[in-house]
Amino acid sequence: MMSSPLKRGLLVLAISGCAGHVDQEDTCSSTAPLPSAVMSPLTASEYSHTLNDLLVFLLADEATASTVMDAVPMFELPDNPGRERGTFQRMKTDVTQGHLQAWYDIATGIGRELTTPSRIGTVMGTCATDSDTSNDAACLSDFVKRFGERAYRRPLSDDEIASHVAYDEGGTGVDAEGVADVIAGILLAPRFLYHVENGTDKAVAGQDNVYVLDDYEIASRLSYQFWESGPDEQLLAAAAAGELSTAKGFARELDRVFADPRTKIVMAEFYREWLNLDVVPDITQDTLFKAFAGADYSAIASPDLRQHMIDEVLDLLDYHTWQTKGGLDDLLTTNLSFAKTADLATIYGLPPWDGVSAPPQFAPDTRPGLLTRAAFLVAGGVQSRPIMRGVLVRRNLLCDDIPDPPADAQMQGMEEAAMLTGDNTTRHITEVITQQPGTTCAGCHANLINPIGFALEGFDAIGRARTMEPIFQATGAKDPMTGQPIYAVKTTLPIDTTSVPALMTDDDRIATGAADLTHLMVDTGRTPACFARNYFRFTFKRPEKPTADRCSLDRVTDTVTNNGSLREGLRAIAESAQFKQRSFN
Amino acid sequence: MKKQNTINRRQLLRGLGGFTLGIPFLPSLVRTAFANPTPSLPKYFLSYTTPHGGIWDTNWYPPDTALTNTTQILPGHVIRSGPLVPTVSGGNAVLSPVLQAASTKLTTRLAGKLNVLRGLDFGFQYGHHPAGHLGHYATGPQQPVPGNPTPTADQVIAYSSSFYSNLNGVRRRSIETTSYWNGYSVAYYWSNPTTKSGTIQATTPVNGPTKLFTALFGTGVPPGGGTPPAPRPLIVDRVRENYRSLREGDRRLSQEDKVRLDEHLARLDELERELLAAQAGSSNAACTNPSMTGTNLQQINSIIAMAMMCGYTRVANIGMQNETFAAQLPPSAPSWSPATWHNNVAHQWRDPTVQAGLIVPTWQIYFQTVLDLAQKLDSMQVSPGVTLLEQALLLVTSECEEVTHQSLSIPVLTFGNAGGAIKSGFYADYRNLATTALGQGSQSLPTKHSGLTWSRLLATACKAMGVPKSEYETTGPGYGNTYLSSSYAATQVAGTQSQNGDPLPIIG
Repeated sequence: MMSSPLKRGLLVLAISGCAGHVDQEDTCSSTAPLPSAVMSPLTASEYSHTLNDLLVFLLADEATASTVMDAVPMFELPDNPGRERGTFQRMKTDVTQGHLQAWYDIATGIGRELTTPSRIGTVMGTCATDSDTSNDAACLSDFVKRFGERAYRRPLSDDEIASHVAYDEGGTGVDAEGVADVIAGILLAPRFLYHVENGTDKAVAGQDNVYVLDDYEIASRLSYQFWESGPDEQLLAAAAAGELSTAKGFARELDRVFADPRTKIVMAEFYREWLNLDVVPDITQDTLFKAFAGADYSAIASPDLRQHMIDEVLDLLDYHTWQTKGGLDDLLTTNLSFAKTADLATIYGLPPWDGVSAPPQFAPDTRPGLLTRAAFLVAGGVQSRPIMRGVLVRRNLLCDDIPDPPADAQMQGMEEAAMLTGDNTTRHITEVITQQPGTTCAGCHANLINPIGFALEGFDAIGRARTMEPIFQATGAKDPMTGQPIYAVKTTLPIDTTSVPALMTDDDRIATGAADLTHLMVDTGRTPACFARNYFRFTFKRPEKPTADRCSLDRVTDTVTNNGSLREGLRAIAESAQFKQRSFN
Repeated sequence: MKKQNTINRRQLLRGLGGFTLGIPFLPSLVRTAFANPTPSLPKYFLSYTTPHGGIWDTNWYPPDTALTNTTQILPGHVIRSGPLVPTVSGGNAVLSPVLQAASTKLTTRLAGKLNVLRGLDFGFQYGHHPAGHLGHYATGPQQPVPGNPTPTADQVIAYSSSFYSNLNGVRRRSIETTSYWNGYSVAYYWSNPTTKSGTIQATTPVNGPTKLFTALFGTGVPPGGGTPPAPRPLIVDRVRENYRSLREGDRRLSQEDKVRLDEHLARLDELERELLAAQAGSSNAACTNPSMTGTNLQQINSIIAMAMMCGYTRVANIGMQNETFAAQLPPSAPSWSPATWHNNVAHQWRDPTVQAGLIVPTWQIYFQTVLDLAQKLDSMQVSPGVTLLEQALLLVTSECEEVTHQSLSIPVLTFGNAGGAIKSGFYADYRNLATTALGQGSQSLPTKHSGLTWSRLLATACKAMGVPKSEYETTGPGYGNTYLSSSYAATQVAGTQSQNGDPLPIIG
């Protein structure tokens, strides 16, 4: 790395309106008003997991529970895959008519499935199928109490039990249709479908209308945060005993919940969305791709290549989070390959990892960390996308405020690019499209976005290391099978990976490639705060308020700063005071 | 023999909303609304859209020679129009390079039910939107319109008691279906639809023919008779009581919690209504299960058309990706690799090879898909001599115009007559060629003349569906938010905005 002899005109940032770096000026204060809250519905994932666990509880058999789940129209559940940038699926709390339709159909379907002659005895107990009719009413009442507690995530009051028993209108207490209605009624109740919190009478000092949650509510927060499902028997028992409102009891249950295998699955979902792994592009493997792949074609022309790329990043995250208890710097600098499949291993030029022994290693500084993984480099076609690579780093790893392009930006740029002649590298085309002096594009692109992407141009559109960029041309021949044109390399152009990424204000240090970029990333120390902000949103299902949420944000940030344990950082959010409080304003 | 709905000479000379110039009155040029105007029959609203645009005006619109009439709608604003007369040759009926089909499909009758409209503009640039075509300008990466979000017109229609004066048998007030990969909806409405309050949020599309069939036909009394299942007493009443108990109880809730519960209660009412409608079945003896043959798009058309015939719904909102249509191109069609349709096709709209090889054929498939839907609607009679299409308004649009993501002269077709409220069989060009042309952000992009605004198009649609303007006017005459960019507004002649609430000339 060298310092540039020239001053960068970063004043252009202010002129262009590109906010760039967002400084943290707030300090932790327990009296900053906690934002108001609204009961959120179970997300599609939470609903599915909760329902499955309830069925296992009733049927005492996972296979039968699975059969029941398959028999009801889970596909009706709205599960919108799209999300706004910087948000998480958990943050989608809108309830539409489609939700009510789906919930109703699923609930009534579950009711019918659980009250078949072969299952009702298991579900309700032998009192439902014995010849003694005198115990039928108590049978139903006990069932409602038992099932209701698991569904509501807390014991039912006598009034609640009575209101659910009444669904069996005119029934015997153990008749299939009546009990089916009772089950459906519980699964349609607000305390099942929503995260309802009423709090205790313990007001939080220095806050207005903010109360500490009760033990059952804390139990729910723990289980849904880390399992996306309801509390298990042990958590409910701890809540019943009042242990979750003690430091020791809470810590014990937090440890247990966090150590459960389900936590890794849910945290992997956080990682997937934080790093936009759900929008890794598909790879079009056509005749142009064939020319691009060259000698590697037979090895990498796999329909599962995209998924293998995603899996590799998740394995990298899993390894450094759970196995080595590493930190963010480890994610950014690791030189280990987690490619288990031949296609991705070919791209990396290393043998596949067996998943058990020590992962293969890249030579030092050749492919450091997350930024050089194929999942973040892949473009979907044969041309790299330095802009998207730069945007991902800015928004997802540094939490810089990079606005969307202005209304006519793409049109301007595309028109400029259409006028280019001759053979040009992707970098040059990108500069022409987005860095024209005096345009609204240049402010963000020239100073914030493109330099990061250019530093990564040493990797092609599927993540192979390169020093030259091939330019393709159609040969005139057609593929006999598809009729599509056949391409060949016309020429190659040298890659330029030198840039000034400007990862901090007034930072004019030069990066000569990915290794320098990664070292600068670590040097900024900015990723911990960005990690904390994203994890906060994932946890509390809303954007953070820098002042009101400072304490929770700092707790996570401080844990993962200086390469602190990611594992501990994921756990730390539950230890914040805010995790056990709620505003009722 | 159908009765002719004639317009007398005096009415024509007085003008269709303005001062009529041009050719003498010829009855044969007056396109009839439909045979039997029967405003007492229900109406139907359908919207079909696709993202990106990019189709050249010269490929989409009929030739200028088809514009045989001129009409002055305001001092300084003259519009042009003419009858839609397909040229039939070799078994093909052609209105334009895209608007063509086999003459057995684009029949004289269907051409008479069609309007091609040019010169309808948003009035501001708005790209990458999923629902701007129905008046919602607050979703997507660009949100250029100040003010509160507006619901989409289909939802305004669906929740209007003037449109649905009778909800008997209506299983879904509206149905939305898309092939959008990003999960965007084409419809947006209030989180509390009963009080029309709360936030404006996306509805839930039901995507794919299987799910669509299940949603509309999969429950309740089957169409065409058969033994209905014994109706179970609905549990919704008790569920409703459960929510009320929590809402009104003495446990602590926040204000937003209570709003949430109120919204859920409102939706429970609608759910109950839907369930009872499903139990009641259809009163139409011609209601049957839809044909599930043909492509997915054709099956979706069949499901929607039959659902409307059965009375299960009367509002449908469809949005299909370009790639969905392009999937029907032959294998020899050019590939749009690498990467996306957006980058490699839509934004290459200027390239003649891309235009001819991909955009035109894809849009031909789009047109033939909506033609298929119109044909199916026209094959169903809602009353002797009156087809469903004649009671319907099928609005066909796209995200943008020939210049991808720009918003001037966005392609618009209408099929149907909305029970007499819409005249058809016209090509109408609303552009004001006398005003200074608008630049589009770059010297190298084509300049265009402004015409009439989108809010007027949607107001025309709502009015045709019988929705009172109090239910869709918010910022003045016209549908919803009538914001215009300053550069656009400067091109409009005096009085244009005040006419925003009036039906579109020629067809309204």
